[in-house]
Amino acid sequence: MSIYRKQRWKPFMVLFILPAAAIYLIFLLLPIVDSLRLSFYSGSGFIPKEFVGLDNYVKLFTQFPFKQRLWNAFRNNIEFFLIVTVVQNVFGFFIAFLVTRKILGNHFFRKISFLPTTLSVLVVGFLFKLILNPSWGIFNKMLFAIGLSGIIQPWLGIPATALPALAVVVSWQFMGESVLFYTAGIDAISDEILEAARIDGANPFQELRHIIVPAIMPIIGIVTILIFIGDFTQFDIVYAMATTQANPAFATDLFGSLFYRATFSTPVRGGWGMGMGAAVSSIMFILVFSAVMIWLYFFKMKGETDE
Amino acid sequence: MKTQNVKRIIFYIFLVLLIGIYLVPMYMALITSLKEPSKINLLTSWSFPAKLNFGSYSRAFKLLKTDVSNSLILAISATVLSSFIGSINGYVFSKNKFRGSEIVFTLLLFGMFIPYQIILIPLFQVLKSIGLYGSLGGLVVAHVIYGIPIVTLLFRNFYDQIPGSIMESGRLDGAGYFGLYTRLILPLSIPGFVVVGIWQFTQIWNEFLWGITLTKPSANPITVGLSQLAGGQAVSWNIPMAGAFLAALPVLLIYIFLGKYFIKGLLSGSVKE
Repeated sequence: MSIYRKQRWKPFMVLFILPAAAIYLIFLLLPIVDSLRLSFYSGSGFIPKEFVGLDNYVKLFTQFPFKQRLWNAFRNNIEFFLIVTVVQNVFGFFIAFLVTRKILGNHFFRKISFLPTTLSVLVVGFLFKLILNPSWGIFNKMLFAIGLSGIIQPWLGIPATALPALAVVVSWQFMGESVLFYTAGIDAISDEILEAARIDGANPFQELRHIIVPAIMPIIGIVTILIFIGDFTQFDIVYAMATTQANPAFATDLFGSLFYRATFSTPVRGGWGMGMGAAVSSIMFILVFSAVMIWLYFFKMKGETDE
Repeated sequence: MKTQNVKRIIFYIFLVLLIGIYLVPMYMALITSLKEPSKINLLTSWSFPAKLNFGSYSRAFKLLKTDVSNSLILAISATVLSSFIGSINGYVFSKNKFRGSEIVFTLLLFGMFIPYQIILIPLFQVLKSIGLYGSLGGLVVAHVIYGIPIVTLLFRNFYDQIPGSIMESGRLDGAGYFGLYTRLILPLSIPGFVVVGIWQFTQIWNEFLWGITLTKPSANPITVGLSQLAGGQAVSWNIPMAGAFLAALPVLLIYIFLGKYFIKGLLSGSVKE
């Protein structure tokens, strides 16, 4: 049947899909190649001046201040990613485990927990700037109320706490997504298996360890790769909570904010010109692309051994 | 029986705590937006304002009016355009597989993983050279193109659920390739359009990086307007918070009333494949 259909419809199909394919090629694939090309050029503003080979990359990896900014953003991004990954996977799974129990109010909670995910990161960022406001924000007030006044500080003003604070805010916003995925994974485990385990005398921890965790392994992969892509391109949260200067003292600088500053800011405010900006974006592309490839590799391997 | 009850109580304590973690920030934003600027201070930051001040909302709306209408035009037109493109592509990839179509489809999906940043500089130059830089039109083009992978995926997954037998009977009735699409597939596509439409609208409404780099002030979308309202060292917080609520309102309404479809889009876009 399928062969018959394939031959019969072929010429039309190509025509049908041609416009989208052409647009895709021209506006999605060519720009990637073009960005890579531009990263080999010097020039201020948006006009490539002359071909400089690997100069931009050499500068980026060896010279002050480019090298320092690049590694700083890299380290920060790794830390940011690790915090978000741990928080969203651990709490996301825990919450999903909770709301898949048959208790009253679980659907209400599912709905509430997903709400922030639908909002703009910018809105959430400003919201938490309000909450963490050092002079009257309620976060410090709450700490005071529960007797933790000793740890009160201007969270966004101190290099050591600013980046973790941003990471926690992003985790708060996208927690609902993890909960959703884990809930779907746990719901997909058939009741019969769980029932059988219970009849065999499995306690909730054994149930968790031997049935639920193995079943949701692929979901850990999906959640983590989505977090990786989101975090290594993250820009909005830095802009909203720490400005394009990634205050304080670049402590919150991520690749996203570094790229923005390098490409679009004036030299005084950290602009490096288009060629350098393109080089930063090329590094981002390579990082994200490699991560996706690694994920696909393991995902595929898993699928093959399962079958 | 007793341990059962204890467990239940622990569950509820956790649940209430968690709900608090989600609702307190929103409560704070709401009461701050309703206060007089002079009433925002340490002593009363918790409490509900004695006198509601809706003035912040009218001021925020006045400041964001152009941005709101820009974003509405942008999100609606880009959503409609990309939904139709997705529907046609999804139809081909689901019901008219050709030699190599799976490879083309996989290549298309890679578009979902491409960082916005890598295409931004060339996009900037292309829009400039065709005279669309700075305008709303340029941003519409950018979102339609970047949306192609996800809308195609969503529609393909949706059309995969339409049984082939329906197609066969349509073919026996003499419907051609185009006829099958317009008379059979399109009328069945309404739920698909709802899912894709909600997904795209939300994504485009919330997008910031392209908005701030590809538009001039007269064409700024709402996220950029809000960043100017709330960015910097804002002295009074009531207006930025009112602005944040205005910026969040359309997506909140969508989620409250059509949340089911939003979640369907998210799950179908990421888990299935």
